Amino acid sequence: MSEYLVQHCWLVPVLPLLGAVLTAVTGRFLGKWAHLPVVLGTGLACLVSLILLGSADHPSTVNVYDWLNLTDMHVSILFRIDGLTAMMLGMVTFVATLVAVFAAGYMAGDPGYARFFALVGLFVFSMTGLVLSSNFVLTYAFWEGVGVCSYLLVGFWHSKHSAADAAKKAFLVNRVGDVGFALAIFWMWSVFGTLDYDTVLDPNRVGALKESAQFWIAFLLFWAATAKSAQIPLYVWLPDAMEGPTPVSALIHAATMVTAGVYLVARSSTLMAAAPAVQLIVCAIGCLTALIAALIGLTQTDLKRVLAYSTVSQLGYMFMALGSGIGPVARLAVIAGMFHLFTHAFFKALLFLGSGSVMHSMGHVIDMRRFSGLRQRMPITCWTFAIGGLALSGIWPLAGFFSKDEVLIAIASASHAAHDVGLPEWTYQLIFVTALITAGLTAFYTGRAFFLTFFGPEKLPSPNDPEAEPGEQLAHHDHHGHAHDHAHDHGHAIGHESPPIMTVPLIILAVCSVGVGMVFGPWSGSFEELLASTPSLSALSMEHVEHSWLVPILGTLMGVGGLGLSYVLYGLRSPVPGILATRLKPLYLASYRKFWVDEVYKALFVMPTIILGDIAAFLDMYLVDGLVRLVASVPKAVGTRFFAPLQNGLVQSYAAITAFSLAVLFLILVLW
Amino acid sequence: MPAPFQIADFWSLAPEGLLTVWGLLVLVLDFGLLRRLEGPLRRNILGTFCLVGGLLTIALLLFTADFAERPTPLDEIVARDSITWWFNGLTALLLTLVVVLSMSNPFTEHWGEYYALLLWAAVGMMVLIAAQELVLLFLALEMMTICLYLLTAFVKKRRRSAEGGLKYFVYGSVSSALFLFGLSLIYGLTGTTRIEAMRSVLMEVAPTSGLSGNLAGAIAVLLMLVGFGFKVAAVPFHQWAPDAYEGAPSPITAFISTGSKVASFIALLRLMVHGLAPWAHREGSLVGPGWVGLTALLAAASMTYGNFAALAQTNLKRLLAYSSIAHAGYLLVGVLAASVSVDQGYKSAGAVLFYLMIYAASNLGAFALATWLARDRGDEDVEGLDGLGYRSPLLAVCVVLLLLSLVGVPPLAGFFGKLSMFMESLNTGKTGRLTLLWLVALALANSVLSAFYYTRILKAMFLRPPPARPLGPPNVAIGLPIVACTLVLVVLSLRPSLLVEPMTRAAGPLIGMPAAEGLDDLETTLSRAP
Repeated sequence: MSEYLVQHCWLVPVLPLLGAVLTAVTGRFLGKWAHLPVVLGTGLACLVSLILLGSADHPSTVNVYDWLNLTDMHVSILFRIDGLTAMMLGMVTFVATLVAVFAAGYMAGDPGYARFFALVGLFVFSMTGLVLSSNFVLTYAFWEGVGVCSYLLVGFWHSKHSAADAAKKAFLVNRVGDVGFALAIFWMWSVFGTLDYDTVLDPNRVGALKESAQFWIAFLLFWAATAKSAQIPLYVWLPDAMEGPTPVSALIHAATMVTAGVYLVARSSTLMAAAPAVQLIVCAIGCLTALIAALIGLTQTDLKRVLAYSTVSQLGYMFMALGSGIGPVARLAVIAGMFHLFTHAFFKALLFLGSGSVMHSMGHVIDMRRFSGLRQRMPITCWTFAIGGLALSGIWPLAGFFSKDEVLIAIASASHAAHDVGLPEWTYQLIFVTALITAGLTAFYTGRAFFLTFFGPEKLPSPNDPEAEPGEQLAHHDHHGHAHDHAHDHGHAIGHESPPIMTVPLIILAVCSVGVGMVFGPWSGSFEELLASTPSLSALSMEHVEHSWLVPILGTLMGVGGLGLSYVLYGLRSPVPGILATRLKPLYLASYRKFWVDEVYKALFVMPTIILGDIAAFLDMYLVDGLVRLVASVPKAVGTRFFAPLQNGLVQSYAAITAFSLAVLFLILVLW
Repeated sequence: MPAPFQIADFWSLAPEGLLTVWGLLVLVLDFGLLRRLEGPLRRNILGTFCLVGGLLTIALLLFTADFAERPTPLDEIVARDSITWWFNGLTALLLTLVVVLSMSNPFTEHWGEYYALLLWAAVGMMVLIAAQELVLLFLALEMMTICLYLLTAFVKKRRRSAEGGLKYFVYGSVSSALFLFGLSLIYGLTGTTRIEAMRSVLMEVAPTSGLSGNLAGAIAVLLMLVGFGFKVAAVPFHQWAPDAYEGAPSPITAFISTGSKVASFIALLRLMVHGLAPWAHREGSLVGPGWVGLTALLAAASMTYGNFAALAQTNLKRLLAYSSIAHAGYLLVGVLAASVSVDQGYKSAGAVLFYLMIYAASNLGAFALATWLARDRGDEDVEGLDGLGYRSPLLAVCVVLLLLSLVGVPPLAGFFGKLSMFMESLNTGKTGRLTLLWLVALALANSVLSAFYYTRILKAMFLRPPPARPLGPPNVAIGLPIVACTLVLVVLSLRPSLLVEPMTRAAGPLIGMPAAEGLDDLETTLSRAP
C-alpha cells in the first residue's frame, strides 16, 4: 500500500488541487457546501501523507510525468519521498485539513465562500508540491505558487483597502526573496550543471566547490528564506498579513507559507553546512529577529498581531537552530530546527484558530482592550488557547518544551564547536543568552495575551469603546457582512462559544500540542530517526551530545518566570504595566510602534522606488514608447511600401516575377 | 520482375477507395434523392453523410494500422509506411473538420458537387502522401489541385472567388507544366520513375558531388522546386496564395492551407530529401551546387516576406495566407536540416513532421475563426473580431491558444514544434551548422515579428469594444473545429512526446532506409543512433 502510494505521491498535491478546481467550477451550485471538495481533497491528501510516512525511511524519487522529451531535452516532473518531505507533507496536510474544517464554520455566509476554499486548495497544492519536488527549479515554481496564493488569500477581502495593501506588501517583499532564490539557482546551475537535489546536495560535490561559491550559494538560499520565513530584514509582511481571514493566518503561520523558507534551508543543509560563515549569519539574523519580534510582541494590543510577532520570533528560533549547524553539530541542528517547526505548526495553528474563534465571537473585534474575561463565555476556546500558550512558552511536557530545548542545546553545542570551524565562540554564547531571554519574553507576551483576553472582568466590545473605529458596526447589527471578517451570525448576539465545527479542530490541535513532543520527541527519538534518513541529512556529521540538565532547567525557568510575571501584571490586573508604559514612554513607544521599521522602510525603499517608478513611467511614455513606435513602424512600412506593390493582383505580373526569379535561381545554381 | 498483383493487395488502398466511392455516392444522392430539398437541409444531409465518410476513413485507418505486415508489389508505387498512415489520418481528420466547417455557412447551392470535390481533393492528398513513383505523384498532385481550383472558385456570386480561382488555376497550370518538365528530365537522367530506384541510381553515379557540372540535373531540380514552391506557397512562387486564400470559401482556404500544404511537404520530403539526397549538396559544403542552397534561399525569403507582408494586412484570411507562407519558410529550414545531417537526419525530418501536424491543427482552428467572420459579416476584416473575448469567452480563449501556438509561445505545442525543428537544425554537425545557424537566427527573428500581427487579433478580441455589427453566436459547425483543434494542441502541449516519438520513428525511412522495411529494423537503427 505504502509502496504503491510512493509511486503515486502526486496524489498529495493533486487531490487538493482537484478539490480547488471542483470548488471553483461548481461553487455556485454547491452554495454553503462549497467547502466540501477542498476539505475532502485536503483530508485525503493528509491520509495519503500519513501512509507515506511509513515508506519515508528509504528515500526514493518518482518520475511523475515526462513533460518534455525532445531529442536532447528532457524535462520531467520529479518528486521525492524521504524523511524531510514526508514529515512536511504530513504536517502541512494535517494542519491544513483542520484549518479548512475550521474555516467552514468561520467563513460561513461570506460572499466569497467558494473562492476562499478554492484558494485554500490551491495553497495546499503549491505547498505540498514545494516540499515534494526533487529539484530546485520545481521547488522554485511551487515557491512562486505559494507566493501567489498568499497574495490572493491575504487580499481576500480586496475591497478593504488595508487588505489589498497587505497583500501587495506580502507579495512584493516575497519577490525580493525570490530574487535571491533565482540567483542561487543560476549559481548552482553554473557550477553543478544540474539542479537535482541528489546531485547538488551531494557532500562530495559541495566540498569540491570554490569557497566563494559555497559562501554565496548558501547566502543566496538564506536570502530567499528570509522573505518566505519572515526574517530580518524581510519580516515586515507577515504581521500585516493579518488582514486576511483568520484561518488564512493560521495556514500561513503554521503550515503552508512561512515553513517554506525553513524547509529550503533545511533541505539545502549540505550546502549550508559547507559555509560556516553563512551559518553564523543565519544564526545571528535568527537571533536578532527572535528578540526584536518578541520585544514588539510585548506591547501590541491586537491579539492576532501578538501572535504574528510570536511567529516571527519563533521562526527566528528555527533559524537559530539551523544556523547552529556547523561542523559536528550540523545534523543535530537541522533536526532541532525542523522539530521546532513541526511542534510550532500545531500550537501556532491552535493559537490562531483560537484567536479566530474569539474574533468570530466578538463580532470582528480583535483589539484586546475591548474585551476581557471571556473564560466563562468561551470555555473551550479559553482552555485550548491556554494549552497552545503553554506549549509556546515551552512548559514541560508540552510540545514546545521539547523542541525549544533541542534548539537551545543545538546553539549551546555550536558554541563549543565554533572554534573548530574558525568562528569566534562568544558569538554563539551571546546568541544562546539572547535565545534564553527571548524564551522569557515569549512566555511573557503569550501570558499577557491570554490573561488580557480570558481573565479579568468580563467585558464585550461595544461601538462606544474609545478604540472603536468611527462608524463601526458590530456583528449583531451587521447584515451585509461584505468587507468583514465575520458575517456568520446574522442578527444574533456576540459573545458566545463558537460552533462545534470550529471548536473540534481546536480540541484536536490542543491534543497535538500536548502530545507531539512526547510522542515524537527525544523520548521516542522517532522524529530524529525519520529526518536522519533523509539523504542530505544523513551525510552530515553527527556528534553525540552530552545531555546537560542545565539547558532545560534554564529554559523552563525563563518560561515559568515569564508566565508568572504576566499573571501578576495582567492576570491580576495590576496597575504596574500602565505606570511602566508612562515612565518608560520612549521604550514603550518603540515597541508599540514596532521600532518604526515600516516607516524606515517606507522612507528608504518604498519612496525611492515610487520616485524611480515615476521617472521610469515618464521615460517609458516619451522615450521608450517613441523608440518602440519607431522600430515597430519600420517592418510595417517595409511591408506596405515595399512588399505590397509586388502583390498587385495581376496574373501577368505574377508570371513575370516568377519567370524572373526562376532565371535568377537558375543562375545561382549554375554559376555558384 | 515484380510479382503479379493480387486483388487483396489493393486493400491497402481502401481509405482512398472509400473516399472516392463516397464522393460518387454524394453526387448520386444529391442528384437523386435530395434533388427537391431546400439548400440548407440538403447541405446538412450531405455534410453529415460526408462526415460519416471521413470518420469511416479514420476507422478504416485504425483497422489497417498493421500496414507493414505483408509487403505487396504495390509498395513500390504507393508507400504503406507509418508516414502514410499518420498523415492519411491527419488528412482524413482535416477533411472531417472542413466538412463540419462547411456546414456553417450557405455560400453555395451546389452542395453535391462541393462535397464530392472536397472528398476527391482529400483522395488526391492521400495518394500524394503515399506516392513513391513520379507519375502517380504527379497525377495525385493534379487531382488534388484541380479539385481545389474548382472549389476556390465555387462562390459564383462573389467576384473575388472567381478571380482567386482563376489566378490559382493559371498559376497552378504553369507551375504544373514546369514541374512535369522537371520530372521528365529526372526520368531521362536516371531511367526510372520510382523514387527508391532513383535514389540508388544517383547514389552510384554521384554520391558526393552534388549537382556540380550537371546542367540537366540542375534544371530538373529547379523546375521541381518551382512545382513544390507553388504547392507549399514558398516565395517567390507564392503569389497566388493571398488572392486564392481570400477568394475561396473559408473552409476551402482552411483545407488549402493545411491539407494541401501538408501533403505537398510530405511529397517534397519523399522526392527531394529521400530520392534526390545525393544531389542535395557537395560533400563538405552546403552552399555549393545542390538543391539545399536553393532551398535555403527560398526558406529565408519565404519567412521574411511572409511575415513582413502579413504585418500590413487587415483582412484575416490574407493575414493568415501570408503567415502560412512564413510557416512554409520555417518548414523548409527543417527540410534542409533533414537532408544536411548525416546521422541525425531522421530526427530533423521527424521534427518537420511534428511541426506539420501542429501547424495543421493551429491553422485549421484559425480559419474556423475566419469562417465565422465570413458567415456573419461577409468580409473577413480583423476589426470584425472586436470584443469577441467578452461575447464568446470560451472560443476566444481557444483562439488565443491557437494563435499563440502559431507564434510559438511556450509552453504551447507550436513552441515545441519550432523548438524541435530549430534545435535539430543546429544539431546537424559541422557542415550544416554555420549556414543553418543563419537561417535559424532569421527564423527566430521572424517568429518575433510574427507575434506582432497575431497579437493584433488578440488585441481586437480582448481590448476593443464590440463593433456595430458584431459576430453572432457561434454554431456547432464553427465551435467544434475550434474546440477540437485547441484540445489537440493542449494535449500536445502537455505531452509533446505523444507525437514527437512516432514522428521521429516515421521519419526513419525517409533518411536512407528502404520504406518497405518494417519498424523492427527502425527500432534497431534508432537504438544505435546516439
